[in-house]
Amino acid sequence: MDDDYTGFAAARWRPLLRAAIVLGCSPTEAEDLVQTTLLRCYVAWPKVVRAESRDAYAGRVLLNAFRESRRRRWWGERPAADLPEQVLDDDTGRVDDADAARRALAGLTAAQREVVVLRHYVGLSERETADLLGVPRGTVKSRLSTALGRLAGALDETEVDR
Amino acid sequence: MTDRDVLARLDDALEPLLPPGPPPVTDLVVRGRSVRRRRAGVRAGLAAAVAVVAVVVGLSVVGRPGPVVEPPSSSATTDASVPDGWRLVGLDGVMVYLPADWRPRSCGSGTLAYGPVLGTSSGGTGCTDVVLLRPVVFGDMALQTEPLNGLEVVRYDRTCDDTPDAPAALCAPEHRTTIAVPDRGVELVVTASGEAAVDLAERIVATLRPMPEGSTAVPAVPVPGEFARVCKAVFGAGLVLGRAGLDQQVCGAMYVGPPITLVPAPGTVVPNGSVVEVENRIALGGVSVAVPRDWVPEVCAAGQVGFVPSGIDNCESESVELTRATTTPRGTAVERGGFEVIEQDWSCPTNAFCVVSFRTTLTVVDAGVQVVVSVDDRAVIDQIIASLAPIPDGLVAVPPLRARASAAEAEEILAAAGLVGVPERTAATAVTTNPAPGTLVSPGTEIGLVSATG
Repeated sequence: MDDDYTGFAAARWRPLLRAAIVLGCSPTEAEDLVQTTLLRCYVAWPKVVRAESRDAYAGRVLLNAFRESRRRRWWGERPAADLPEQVLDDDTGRVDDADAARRALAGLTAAQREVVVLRHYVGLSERETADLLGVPRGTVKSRLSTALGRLAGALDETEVDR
Repeated sequence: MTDRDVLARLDDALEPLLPPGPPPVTDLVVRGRSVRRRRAGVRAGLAAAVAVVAVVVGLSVVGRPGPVVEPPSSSATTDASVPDGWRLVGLDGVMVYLPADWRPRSCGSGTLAYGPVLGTSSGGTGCTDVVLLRPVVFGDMALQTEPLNGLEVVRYDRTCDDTPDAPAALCAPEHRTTIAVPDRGVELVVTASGEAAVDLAERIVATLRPMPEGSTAVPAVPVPGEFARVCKAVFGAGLVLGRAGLDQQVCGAMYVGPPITLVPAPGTVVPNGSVVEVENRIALGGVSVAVPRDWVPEVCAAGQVGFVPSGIDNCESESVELTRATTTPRGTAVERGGFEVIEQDWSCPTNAFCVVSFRTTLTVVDAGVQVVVSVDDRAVIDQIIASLAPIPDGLVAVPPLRARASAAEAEEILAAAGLVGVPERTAATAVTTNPAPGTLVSPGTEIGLVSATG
């Protein structure tokens, strides 16, 4: 079982980190959230295996864990001291990219972020996304369309600024 | 640009934000197994037994470092059952055992923080490698809890992946355990680095339990430590402020000096209704001490912080003076309040006439500050030495002024300390400040510049 799980966890690590950041986590929070997600997947591994899509299962767990953390305003662990900012390589292009991502995501609402994550990073269909969020399919479509439009605009704007 | 293009570009842009290094898969498996084992124990209906066994096993392994805590006879233990080498600290209805030689740290308003003595091999720095007890706000959702010594808790472990590529920020400290107690609105956070420290942290976590009936804890002092807020916290914990038993309403409305620290110390578990006193704390250069409550500021010398007993208008007899150390005396440094300190004691020879009976000079080596205490009662020196501590978080000390400082120079000195100088009258020079040098205030506070002491 552990071999199966470790392969799954290693493969999902970075996609889930991206999803967590799109949802609104800082890099440190994203790492904690993904660890929580993958830990829950380990504990419920038989269910994960039986799921139609393991990736979708992990995505749902991630979204639930994210919502829990935001609702209770508690991250389970928080830095006790002023930790230094994470050091990025001294690479202007990478810093620009990070800035572009932050700016682009800042223009999205929480609901739009969730739709982007479920459709793009979790790989749910429109219907599955609608069912999970408890909204009509049309709402999923419009949120995704608006979100992608804003992302495209923000990323284009950043490109022009360079 | 297609939707796919947009998402691909977003992915590229996100790349620099992702934590580097491989996924901590091995660690996840270890933690996952641990969670499964705990749940299996609960399902078997052995929750209570598991808690006790965990304490016994966790605390009795031969060869582990640090003192050994014998498990208390019940979850409702009392002060009398604290084993040698350990102490109890509490907050909001829960308490935990800590090594007795751990010192308080300043790690946020309303937070109790303790850690090993700074500067020792086992000591961490600042607010890493510490134990924190602090209030926490939960939403209305149902949390998945597990039993621990009679409490319903939510446990969260984070262990740094042992990856050479991982940035230091993600691995300091290496291990963090958070035990939240939702129905008490409090959480215990234990952070540790190194095998021995992580082991000790696990033992500390296993001792978290409810406070016994009829007990409460001296609250953590809010920052800034304004009297009204201290008052509210003390009464909120079911305690009495001051031996005279200040009325809560009066207490909440009054302001007396810089009341920062409570006696007994915050976190001390005491019977309900116990009396709590407030300390008068002063500071220079990051070093603070508590002076007797009826002592008042006095200008002993330029560049110094001076306090003397009320009614005395000079610094020749009893006084406490804080000054910058220009030299380091010979002697062995000992640990006092988290600092390295060289102590020099003097006492008046028998049959000699002296203005004071005892004088102790504490040179705080790592802060470059000298504390000179001159008194007739040796016990006062002991109390002042015992109160030595860093400046509480979120506060700054009003700095002393140079001799014959111009108003502009005085304002510069205050600005360097994060304060705003306001001349109280038109004057070429400033002699002292109001509040007096050494007073602990919030950053940005307006400080009056006084040209004469009258």
